[in-house]
Amino acid sequence: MSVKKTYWKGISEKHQTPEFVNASSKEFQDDLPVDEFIGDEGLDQFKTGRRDFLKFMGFSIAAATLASCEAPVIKSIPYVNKPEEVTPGVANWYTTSFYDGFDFANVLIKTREGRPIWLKGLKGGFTKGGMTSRIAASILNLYNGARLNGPLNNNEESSWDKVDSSISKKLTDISNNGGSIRILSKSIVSPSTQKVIDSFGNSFGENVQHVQYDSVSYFGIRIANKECFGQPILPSYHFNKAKTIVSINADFITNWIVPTKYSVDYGSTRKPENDWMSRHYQFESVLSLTGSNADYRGQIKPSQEGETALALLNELKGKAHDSSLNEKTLKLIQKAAKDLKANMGSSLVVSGSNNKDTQVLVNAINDYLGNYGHTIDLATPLHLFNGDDAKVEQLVNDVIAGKVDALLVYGANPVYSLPNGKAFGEALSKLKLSVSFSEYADETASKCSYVCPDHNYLESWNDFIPVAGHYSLQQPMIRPLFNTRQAQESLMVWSGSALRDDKESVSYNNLIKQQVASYGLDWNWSVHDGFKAVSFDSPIVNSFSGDIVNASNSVKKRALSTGQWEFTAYSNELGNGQYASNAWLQELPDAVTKVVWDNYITMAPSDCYKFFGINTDNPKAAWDGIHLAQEEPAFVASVKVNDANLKLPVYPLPGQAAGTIGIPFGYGRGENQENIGRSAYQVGEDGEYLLEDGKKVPIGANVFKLSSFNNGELVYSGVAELSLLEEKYPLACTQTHHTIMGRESIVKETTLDFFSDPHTKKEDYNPPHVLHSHAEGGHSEVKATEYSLWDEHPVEHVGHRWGMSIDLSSCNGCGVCIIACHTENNVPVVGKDEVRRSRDMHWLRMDRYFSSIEDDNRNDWEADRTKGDFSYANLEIPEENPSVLFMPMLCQHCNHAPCETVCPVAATTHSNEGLNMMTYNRCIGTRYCGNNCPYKVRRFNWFNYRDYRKFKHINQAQDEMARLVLNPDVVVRSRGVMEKCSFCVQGIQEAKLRAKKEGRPLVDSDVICACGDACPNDCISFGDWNDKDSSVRKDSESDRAYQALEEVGVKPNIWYQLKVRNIDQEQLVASNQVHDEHE
Amino acid sequence: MKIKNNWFRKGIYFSLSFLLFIFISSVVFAQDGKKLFKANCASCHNPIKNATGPKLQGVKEKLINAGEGDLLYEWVKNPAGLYGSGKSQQAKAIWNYSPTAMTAQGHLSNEEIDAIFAYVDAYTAPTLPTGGDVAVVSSSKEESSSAIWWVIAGLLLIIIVTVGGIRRQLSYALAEKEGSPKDPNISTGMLIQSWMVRNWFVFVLLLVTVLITSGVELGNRAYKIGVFDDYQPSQTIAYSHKLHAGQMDIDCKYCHHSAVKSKHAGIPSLNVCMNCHKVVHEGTVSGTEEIAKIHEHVGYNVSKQDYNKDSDGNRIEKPMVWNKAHNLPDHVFFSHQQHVHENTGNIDCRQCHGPVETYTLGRVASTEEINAYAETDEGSEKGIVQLTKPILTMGWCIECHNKKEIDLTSTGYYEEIHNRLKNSPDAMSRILKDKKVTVKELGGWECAKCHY
Repeated sequence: MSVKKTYWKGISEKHQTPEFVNASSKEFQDDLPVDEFIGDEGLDQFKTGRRDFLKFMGFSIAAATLASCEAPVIKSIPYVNKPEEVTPGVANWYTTSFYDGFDFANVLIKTREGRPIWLKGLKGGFTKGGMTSRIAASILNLYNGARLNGPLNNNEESSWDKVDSSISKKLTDISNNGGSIRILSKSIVSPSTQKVIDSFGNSFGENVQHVQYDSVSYFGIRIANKECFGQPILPSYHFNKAKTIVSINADFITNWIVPTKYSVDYGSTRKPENDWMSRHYQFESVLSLTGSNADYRGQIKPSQEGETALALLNELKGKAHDSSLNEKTLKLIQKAAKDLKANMGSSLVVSGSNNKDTQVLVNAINDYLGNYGHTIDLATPLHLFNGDDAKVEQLVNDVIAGKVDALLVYGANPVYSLPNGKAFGEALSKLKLSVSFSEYADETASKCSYVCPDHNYLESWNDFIPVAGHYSLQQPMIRPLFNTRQAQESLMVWSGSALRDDKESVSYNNLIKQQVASYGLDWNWSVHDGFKAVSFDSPIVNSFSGDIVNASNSVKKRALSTGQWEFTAYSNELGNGQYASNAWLQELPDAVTKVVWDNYITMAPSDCYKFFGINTDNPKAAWDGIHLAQEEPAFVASVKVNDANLKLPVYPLPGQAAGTIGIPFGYGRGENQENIGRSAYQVGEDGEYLLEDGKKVPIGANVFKLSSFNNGELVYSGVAELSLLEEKYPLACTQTHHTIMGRESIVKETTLDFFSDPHTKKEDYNPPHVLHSHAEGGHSEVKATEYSLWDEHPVEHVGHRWGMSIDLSSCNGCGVCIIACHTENNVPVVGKDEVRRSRDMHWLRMDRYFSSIEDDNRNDWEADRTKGDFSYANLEIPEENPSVLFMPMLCQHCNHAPCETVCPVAATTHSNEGLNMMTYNRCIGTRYCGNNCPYKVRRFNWFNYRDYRKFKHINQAQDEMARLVLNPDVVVRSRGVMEKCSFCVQGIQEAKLRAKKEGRPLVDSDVICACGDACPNDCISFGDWNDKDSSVRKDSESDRAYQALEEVGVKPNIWYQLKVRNIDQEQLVASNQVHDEHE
Repeated sequence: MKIKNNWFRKGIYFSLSFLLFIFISSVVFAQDGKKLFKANCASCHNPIKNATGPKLQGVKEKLINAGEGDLLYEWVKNPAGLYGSGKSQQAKAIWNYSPTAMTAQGHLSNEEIDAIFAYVDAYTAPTLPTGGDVAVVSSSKEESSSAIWWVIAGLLLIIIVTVGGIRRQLSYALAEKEGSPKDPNISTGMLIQSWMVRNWFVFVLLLVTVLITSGVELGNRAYKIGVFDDYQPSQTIAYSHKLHAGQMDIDCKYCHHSAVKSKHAGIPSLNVCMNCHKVVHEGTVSGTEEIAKIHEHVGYNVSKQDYNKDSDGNRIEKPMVWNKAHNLPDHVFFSHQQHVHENTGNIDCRQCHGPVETYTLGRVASTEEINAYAETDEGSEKGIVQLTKPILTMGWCIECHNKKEIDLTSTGYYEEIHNRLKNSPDAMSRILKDKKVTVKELGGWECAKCHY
């Protein structure tokens, strides 16, 4: 195990390019423009002399003094009739469910004085506490000022009475004349909503048809299951039972079907202390978050998805096959097959493809492995993602051909997300009646003759059956903020089954009550718990009867349709674009690329070389040429697929399969100036919207335009033509910020075999950092922790000592913790321009390290390569397919904190309880502390984000409505102070007070930071280290525990549990041998 | 004789017992009518006004006039029974007065009932005292007294100037008489200058004094910037703590009930006021004027005995805007429950708010005022600590944190802390050097306790 790995955050760091070396020697990315200022000739032109300056200063001081003598009168308005359950200053928690047609989760909402301000996953529900960053950020959408305040008729404000009477009349007319009425909705998983739609259908006759539509569709799985098992169902997948997982382009941790559940299930198999740890193979084109977590990762083109499945099936069955897959991938498939065979019945193969044939082959593999009934459950099917692509295509064609008279669009934005959305939108405005229930005047709604805005999910009653046997309830957290009405009630009013009522309407609520009663459940308890188990009838399925031969032939044919470039559209943090105007999500760095506020084309670095035509004699400088885009703007390319054409910057992504490009969904919202929210458009340096021909420029481009219908399936990948454009485009990327100054002990990892080998000790895989001592003439090695410049801090024994432990093995880098921290601590959003200046304010960041086996002899080879000689192509190239490690980095609350000693005003000090306290009102902003922090976790507050004009479209505190999301327990910091993670001290204080009031010792479950509370995988444990029974104490003493930058001797209060990869020891040794051969 | 005697004795006994009866009943009448009324009837009845129940004055007479005088006792003791029996026409008429049935007062004796009605029939509305106790935003006494000093100083200054002027005129006159007229080239400035040169010592002394005095004054004033003791903002409603917490002796935490549950003590919501003011429509100080404001905002119709509602059945309410008296800066986190809960600080409200039961509207007490209260028997009994720093400043907070002690045996929480301390002899000896554990020693002076 002498393999040495190097860790790098970006390609330029790996190669120590001139640009990187230059940048890393600087503490702050930008120098102060002193020379520029003093050298400014214009200074002489100023008439203000020294005396004037003094006069102004004197006046200002006098004015300030006078002003401070007068106290402002502060008004206070108590409740007139206080609700019994509300105590001002005390949070109430309520269960509810989140469902938007893309994500589903059981959640717990924190409300203060009736305002929802924070949420976390509900443990024990269907999703077991799982979350995505979209759900975590969804609170902000409630307060989006762009939400419609009342119904629209032809994009003009109208009233509910008028809209109701004219829509009812038109519906009746159309129905009486035998016209066709269509409802196009997101997948309906609510039994009560289904009832409403059914009764709507009944009252307007047989001409009503309901079509369900998923912008990102899983129809391929359903039709494959129809062929294989006789039922078009989406089965339940149990990742928690799978010892070997093979995923072909399925990003199940963040974006595939129910990532909220799968990420938790998967995370539970990634703890090396458990009886077993899963081994995960991923075959994909773009380096996804799931791929980053895989133990083995193979690279395939999108067209090869089916062939990969076929190769795996043949390998399992021991059949010979020829395929277009490269040798490395084939080798990996062989290895995966071996592991799968060893775990028959406890393995799982999934594919993210929406192609029936591919899914048939995947079913065949799972059937061969005997996974049905174990890791795949056909008997309890999912109700999510009902979308029928064939019906959608039919409907879209009908609408475009003018065969539809009335269209009601609920929970979907087809004009944005359909391949032919533009034509659909034009046809939509010509219909006799088109109604949208969108909360915003979005792409689809603005084309409809009527918009009847729905409530936000935090204002609505609803019920869901996401999976057979699981009944979830949604309850309102707040009275509707705007003049909106729940879509279900609108339908009920038009079909005459309810009368129009005001915001307190109960007509839909009564339906849900009936539904609850029909299960024999108690209403109050059902609402209280948020979900209940209910009985159901399992679908009757055949045994596997898929047509493997036909599927094989067809996937082979598919693999032939390739070109120089293949594109694949994938989901990242933004999902399908519903939350494009959510500033928190936009500012959340993409898990892998770390780019914020933009979308881009991901391309393999080696492809970038060729594509950009870089040719330089200096190999190191050549790496600068491909531009991570933070220092230098990125190259811009145009992607052409059939008639659609997108223009996007190119981002070199290590791990991207050669010859492929990836583009995330969800960008390019509001192309036609639709009002979907303040933060949905590009903003210039002055804070004004960027304008192009007088129009606001959307963020990124809409990749749905490149998708297509193919034989009744939505296809999100294919052959693309790529051409390099002259222009350049700056990207904001947190990737290269905050250098770690060559200290490599920040991340540690080992392999499962080595970790669980009874002969290995902690010192073998988790060696402490030692210093060489020459004391008393001899040479000895002494643990770095034994040296200290200071006396022990007294926190070790007295009272509490707050500590945190973060498990790098089960952390998958999803970023929910970042949003949770942002929300809890009122962290300002700063926007793209400020992030480009390295002024992002995240208190908690997710460091992403690529790693590769070190090879010192590479330089010659690189020199050749940069000259265009790729003959050494079978050597391992570090950025071709690196392994990835995620590490949440936050203030380490060092007991010997270097920041504390340099503060000239004692604004940052150490508490008796081990907290590194930051006192904003004492800080004068010297930034010495930030300079002295080895972890680079301190953030300087450069602006009054809450009222400076630069942030008016970005910062939530500048919107009268969005301001309601601020946490009243945490101060909103002002300009000129340092800020950083406080270990959620407000929560600590609250927990201590609770224990004090109850007169009992504080226990582990009392206190948790926002990040740890929201973490779906419980990677973060927090507690009192002085309590010997606390989980953090136990974790800190575990074999995997280490402290980042231990050798610096700052004695942090955070322990990391090193990453354990389930990879073969031989494999590492083998690459070590390769490594040796070169030496 | 015997018989006579007997009769005589009987007569004496009879008259004695009659006298006793008269005496006792007169005692009952005189002393207990009011008390009985307050204890049993006042929650629903007012003698001269309709409340939850109808006004009671004249009811007895009305019954007697209707020939049902003897049913009065039965009515009071068992109203439902009387109504059910159908004996009384009056009971039938009155039964529909209100949806709230009268609570049977079976424990009252006939004499007590008589006493109550005697009190009710004799009741007259109290005349309102004028001015006086009505809450008025005070102009502080100190200010008026210092104004007097300013006036005196002004008068003295005028006298000095006048006398100086007269003296100067006289000296000119003298000089003229003696034949040396005033040199017109010498200006006043030059005169002053020459005076300064001649009396340089006096001048320097004067200058230093003025500088020091103004410096000290400036310092004192600057120190008081942001200190708003005696701040008593005006309010929509002239609420009197003196009346409620003082005379009525209502506990602070009855109205400010969230003080033990939350960081906010809270301005009471109007439904708390209505717990009493649903019945009490008239105050002793300002009559119906102020209480009517509660009813106006909460939407209560006194004559209908019900809340005003809109067509949907929701109450028509009007939020009441208050001016906050105690204002901490936004960057300070202060928790009432931490300080007043019995298991934590267990501090009396008066430690920070002073003797509120003597104020009318809410106001910020001054440190001196609280110190004075601490010296009273009541104050020392409540454990009020004397502090020196101006109220609501950080110095004031942490001064108290340095003085207040924590009993490490009081609750399970502190016992655990105590156990841990015992394991650390260093810390133990450091903290227990002075034989007491203060809030400061357990971290009460740390920034992140209040600033985050």
